[in-house]
Amino acid sequence: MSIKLFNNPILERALDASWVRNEAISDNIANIDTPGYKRKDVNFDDYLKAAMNKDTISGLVSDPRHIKINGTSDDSESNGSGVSGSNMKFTTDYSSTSMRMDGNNVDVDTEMAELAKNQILYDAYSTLINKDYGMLRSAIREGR
Amino acid sequence: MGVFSAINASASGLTAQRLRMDTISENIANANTTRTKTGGPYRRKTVVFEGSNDSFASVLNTESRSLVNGDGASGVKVAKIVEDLTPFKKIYDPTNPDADEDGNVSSPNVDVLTEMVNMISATRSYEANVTALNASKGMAIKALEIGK
Repeated sequence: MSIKLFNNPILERALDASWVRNEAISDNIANIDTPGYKRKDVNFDDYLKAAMNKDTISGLVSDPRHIKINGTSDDSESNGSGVSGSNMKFTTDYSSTSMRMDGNNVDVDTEMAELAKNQILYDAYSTLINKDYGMLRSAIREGR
Repeated sequence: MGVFSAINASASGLTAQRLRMDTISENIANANTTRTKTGGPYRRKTVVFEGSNDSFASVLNTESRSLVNGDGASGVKVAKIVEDLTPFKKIYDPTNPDADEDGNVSSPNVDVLTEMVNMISATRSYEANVTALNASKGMAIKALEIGK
């Protein structure tokens, strides 16, 4: 039986993603009045959902020489169910319609809402991690 | 993904908006100035904002760093302050010492109303950046509380 001591890599990754997302939103708000600026975002949620649901087909590996097809290999397991840091990159959003003449597509109201949402999420993730450690501490002290 | 890159981005936004506000104040203060060092009336000034990562060097730098630790927020900077080249307003005022032979005075191309509207916009943008900065600060403090 292998129980990892710090066994919640998904939470840590989500915390990281939320942090990076905050950077993207701050950058958008700083560039409200920059002509031609396109808003940035981090699409971590989609990757996380896909990784957690595992609703993709995977090939059976019956021989070490087989090529893995969407399988849960050991290395993807170790860094949080296939959610790696490389997913936390900024993507530039050209899609949202811009009402402005200067080609900037930052909407202040949306950004402020996203900022608030993201902050609450970050607080939630960090609280959950705290609870994790609290449980560990409780186990170490034998419940006292 | 630096510790302070979000705060730095917000701070650059604050700096840029404050400079914009300074420029607007200068325009309003000089709305009636008919004599300047360069001769002629005052010309309206505006700021030009650009994303900090627009130059080749910074794009290269960001992209090469992003291979290692993800791309950080880069913020905004004021590229330059430019003069508004629209023609001066002609106001008929023969008593003015700067009037030409027809009695017209060339006065600055500053429209106080436009400046006031821009000032409101700058104030709101400044406030948005303050909010973003406080959010980043709150998150960083929350992160320090993990494991306490």
